[in-house]
Amino acid sequence: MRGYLLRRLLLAALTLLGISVLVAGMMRTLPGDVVDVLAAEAFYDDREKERLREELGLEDPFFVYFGKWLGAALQGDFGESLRTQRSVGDDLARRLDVTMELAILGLIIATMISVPLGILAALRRSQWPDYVARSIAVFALAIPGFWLATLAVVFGAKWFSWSPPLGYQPIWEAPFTNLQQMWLPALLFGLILAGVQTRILRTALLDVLRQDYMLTARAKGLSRLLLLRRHALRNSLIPFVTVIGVQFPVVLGGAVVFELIFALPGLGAYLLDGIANRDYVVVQAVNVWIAGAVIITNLLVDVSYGFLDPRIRVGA
Amino acid sequence: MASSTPASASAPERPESLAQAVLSGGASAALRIVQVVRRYPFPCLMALVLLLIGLGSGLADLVAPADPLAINPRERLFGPTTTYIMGTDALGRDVFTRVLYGGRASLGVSIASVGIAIGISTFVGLVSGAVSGWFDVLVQRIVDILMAFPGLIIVISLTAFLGNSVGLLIVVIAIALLGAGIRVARAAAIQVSSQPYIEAARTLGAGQARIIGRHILPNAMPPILVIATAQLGIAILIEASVSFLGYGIQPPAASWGFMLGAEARIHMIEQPWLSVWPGLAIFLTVFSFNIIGDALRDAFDPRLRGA
Repeated sequence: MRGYLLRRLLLAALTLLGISVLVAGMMRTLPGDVVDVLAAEAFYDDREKERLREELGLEDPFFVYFGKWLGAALQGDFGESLRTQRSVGDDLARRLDVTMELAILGLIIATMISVPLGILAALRRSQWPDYVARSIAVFALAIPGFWLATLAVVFGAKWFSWSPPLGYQPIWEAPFTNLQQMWLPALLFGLILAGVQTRILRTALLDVLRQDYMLTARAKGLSRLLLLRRHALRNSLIPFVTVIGVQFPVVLGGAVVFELIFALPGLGAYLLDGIANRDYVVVQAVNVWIAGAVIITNLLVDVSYGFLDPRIRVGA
Repeated sequence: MASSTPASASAPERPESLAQAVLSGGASAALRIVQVVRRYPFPCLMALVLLLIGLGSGLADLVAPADPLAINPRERLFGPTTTYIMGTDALGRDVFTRVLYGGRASLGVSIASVGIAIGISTFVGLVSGAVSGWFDVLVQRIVDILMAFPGLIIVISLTAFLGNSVGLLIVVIAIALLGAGIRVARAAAIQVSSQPYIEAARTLGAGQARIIGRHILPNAMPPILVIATAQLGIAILIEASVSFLGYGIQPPAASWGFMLGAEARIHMIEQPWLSVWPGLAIFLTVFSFNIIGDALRDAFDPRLRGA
């Protein structure tokens, strides 16, 4: 187990390193020097431009530049925003709270929808509850999140004179105001995510329900409820947890759009601001952070298999 | 193959049987279609819807009732009327026409990017699944990296910095789809490789290239086809999201995503229909692709039927 964990951690670090090289390389090879763009807007003369290039390390060869960046990043220093001169690391940490809250609330709501729907569909296979649950799932899969959010805002304003409150409040400081802002985006997000989850849970349950040991347990006189809880759900957990792990990158990507529509200052909004300002220090950091979050989630999902199903010896 | 060759060879001697063969061939093809429609009525309906959307967008130049860029300030923000069946936007342009042209952009971009992605991932995935070793290890690490990037975020970052060209958009969406495609193709290749007929081919002296091209590729096609269909839907959603944020297809050209974007949102309160049509078009297209993908999966793998 320890050897497995160590190997997985090493592999995760390697992947993250690969991603950092890729992102930094892409940012460095971008046409249109950032400095030129900045200089044009700030009316810099050539001397100031030189100084800025030096400061950003754009004069260094790529691997020196990358080495410096990595060294600083490992100590939690992601540089300063070109536009605001603020520490990118601090900004990221603050904005991660917002995105994480949205992601976690969305996943909780999705699970609250998908678990009952999935169970209902599997237990009443090929009857109307199954068709209803499956239709809801397929609809949720195909609806673009930003469309659903746009409709909610447009028709909320039109019919209920409701619009998302502006001025974000952190949940630690003003939980009530915060939830007033978060409930709708989280709910819509949850609806979208519930589609895949319902389908996977239904398939996994059907697979388990077919097994011989289910018949044996029933023959022994186990009640249906206990059968479902002890045997069926336990054994369906692995595909279900996997799909939550796989959904995570989608969650973070979708957060960009939801944050824009509902004016939430999260990672997605930070990325969009960074792009609009051509602030490549910010864009690079956000990309690496998001990739890092995805890698850690996948690692946790893989490690959790061993706990969910003792038969699986991770690393064996 | 073996049974049809003698039949066509003997055909010139009995001309009437040739006509019969053609007729019965046509009839059996028709019968086959009826069978498919009967077994999968709903997926066939969605295929028809998709065909209509595709034809309408592809032939937008011929079908569209108006010019997609023609501005008419006097007739702006109309709801649906008999002249403008989907109404007009803030500049008085016909929304129905723009939905058709927008479909051309969306479908074109997604088909092109999925084509590129599936082509590359089939090749790389099959080779890495068939020849294990250092190449496979390398490919797996690259897939890990590709899968760790949230597709939408990498697409936005790259298009925003590299400039807004349709060609670039296609390539970047293709990159975002590569990871999943390679994974599926590789899994299929590994599964097929363990079949006895591959061993038989190898025993008969077939080279690696021949085994992959002639034996693994055709047998690994079903799962690749299923993921391709699913990715068409995903590509449409990515393109629409990027255009929605303003980094994809650039105005004044029409695209479904941009029609729901920043500029349009201002006028949606005045004319809510504006927020309905392009979204409905995206939804219907993605929905159709998903339903067809499910049906393909069922047809290829009966064990999963109804799953």
